[in-house]
Amino acid sequence: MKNWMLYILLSVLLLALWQYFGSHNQTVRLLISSPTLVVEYFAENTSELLVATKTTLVEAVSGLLIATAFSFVVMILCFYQPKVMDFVLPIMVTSQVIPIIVLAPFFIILLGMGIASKIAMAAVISFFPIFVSFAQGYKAINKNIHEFFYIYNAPLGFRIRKVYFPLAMPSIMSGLKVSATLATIGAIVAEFTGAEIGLGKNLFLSAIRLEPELMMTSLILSALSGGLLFSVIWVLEKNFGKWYAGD
Amino acid sequence: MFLKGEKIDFGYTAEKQVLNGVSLSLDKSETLSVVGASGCGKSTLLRIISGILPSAKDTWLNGQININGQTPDEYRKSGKLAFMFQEATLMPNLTVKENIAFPLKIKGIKDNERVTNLLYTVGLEDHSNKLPKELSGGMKTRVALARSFVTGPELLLLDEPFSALDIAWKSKLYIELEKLREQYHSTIIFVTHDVQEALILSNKIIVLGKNGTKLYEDIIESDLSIQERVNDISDYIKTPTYQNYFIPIQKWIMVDGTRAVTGREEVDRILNKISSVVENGNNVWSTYQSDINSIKEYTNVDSVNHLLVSAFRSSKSLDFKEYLMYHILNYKDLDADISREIFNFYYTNIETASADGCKWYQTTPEHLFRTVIKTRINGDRTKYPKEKLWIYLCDLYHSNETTKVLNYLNDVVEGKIEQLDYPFAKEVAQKVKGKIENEKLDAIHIA
Repeated sequence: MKNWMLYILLSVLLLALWQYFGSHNQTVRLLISSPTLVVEYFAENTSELLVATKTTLVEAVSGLLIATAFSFVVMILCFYQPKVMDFVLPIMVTSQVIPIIVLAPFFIILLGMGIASKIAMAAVISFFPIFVSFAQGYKAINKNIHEFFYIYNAPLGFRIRKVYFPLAMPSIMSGLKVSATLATIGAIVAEFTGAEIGLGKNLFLSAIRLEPELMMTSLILSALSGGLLFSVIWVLEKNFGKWYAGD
Repeated sequence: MFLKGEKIDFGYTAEKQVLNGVSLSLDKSETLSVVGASGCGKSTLLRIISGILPSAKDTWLNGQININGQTPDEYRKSGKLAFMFQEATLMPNLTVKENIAFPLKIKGIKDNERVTNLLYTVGLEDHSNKLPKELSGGMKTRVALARSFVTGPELLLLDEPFSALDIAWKSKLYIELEKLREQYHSTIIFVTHDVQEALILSNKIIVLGKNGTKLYEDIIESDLSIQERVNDISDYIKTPTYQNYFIPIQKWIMVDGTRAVTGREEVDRILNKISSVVENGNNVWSTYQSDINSIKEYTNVDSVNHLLVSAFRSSKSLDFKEYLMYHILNYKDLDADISREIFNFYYTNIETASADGCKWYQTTPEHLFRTVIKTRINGDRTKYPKEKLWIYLCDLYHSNETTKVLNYLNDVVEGKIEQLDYPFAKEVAQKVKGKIENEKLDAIHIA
């Protein structure tokens, strides 16, 4: 039997079990509701839920884009001034000792309750994997390739555009895939600490109000948002990474 | 003089000196080969000429290098230099055509016609849109070769570019390299550890020793042009000119590579003895048994076998050839061409040898199985697991089941046995079969 058939069977089985226990057991219903109730809840509150999802997605995507752009800028700076890399990398590694989630209240105080603080959180949490993957991808380039471009006296700008970026692409893409999920987590965690709208806020409210339907719909929508971002990067890689796909 | 290097000393650190007073000179359109054992500084010398070295702060360089009136770094910046590495070093994200055109792209030139011509020259016109990962090792080297010539370099530096290829690919690439060199009139410096390759492709040769000194320098004076040599390698390597260069050069490398200093004199003495037998053709080979064993202890087996193969090809004495043959056949990495050459030699000379009073004409089929079939087993163990064939044939022969041996050999001749290197195995089987059948007929006659 093919793997995807097994996955479908497993999903159907889990849904059936969820439905059965959600309808027959009060504790389960209070904790995770049941599929039919969740669908009903979604149908009744579609527009609010979709707006919340859109907000979280915008925050995550913006954060991811800022993190990507910033890591590229820092990396290009490092290409022009290799000493910057020796200075920046230890700071990056040390910064990872801080559990970045604790910075969420700091961003709320600094940037307010709006989406700016969430974008900042998503950007900070997703920056490190992209930057480190890029640096690793660059360092993995064969020494002979560097010598080849040195012999042909290729300008640094040309090397960055035509050699370093393309050859570091497999690593950059791996970093982006990790960061896509992290950016969604960053946005949701920042929403926990205070937001006007968003999936994180919904999850926070569901716990206070004991609304398992709200919790489950938000949870499913959060998973779908992370999955969507991951899929976009996967599709991008399929188009731009043909030369290493299958390696 | 197009390129002149005088008393080049180089070190990666103050303590670690790699090159020691190396001088070299080269006229325009000449090819210079730099040979030597691994780690003697050949590639370092090439990197100094290309301007890559010295680079790091600890590296140091003394001496003068002048390329057409410029320092290596000035010459590199002038854009007339190309470098081909040991690995193909292709851009994995670009197609064959894009890779060849890449040096032009760096210079901001678009010349589709030149790229297409090069694609045709190296025979890759049908693969122009493939990515490097879709190419074999030999094809990648061809792309790298075409890329090296795309800017029409005045000076081309080649750092053992063919070392990972088999002899069939090498022969093709020698022809292509020579074709391109003729077309672009490039001056070439070719680094290799293969003396044969150096003697085929160059006008001049220098040998570097273990401590980075120049051991030997010579101009290759041959009646054959490089183009003629690459077009018929097997004929060229049998010429006296080739042999006159090969043995002394290989000797330099071997003596230099001898581990113990005390062993060097011994190796030198034995090599001189072998050279004298090769030249004089006397018949006292049995006295060399201990010498060959002794030399193998002092230096690496690879060098000894290169030398023995060369001695085998040039020796005038059939008896000495036979003695060398057994030594060569015991070499585990013997290539197919040499084993075929020895096999054919054996069969074409068996009558003469018999008349000469050599003992080996009495060789039994069992002996043949061992020497010839085992040679191929040793030649490529992974590809042709043929120990079975040898054991099977020997067992049958010993149990006097000649018919079974003949049946098996028949199967080999008819191509029914898998795992064998056809047509070589066929050739062997056919001849061994003939020998056994003759023996049978003789036995009937006697009876």
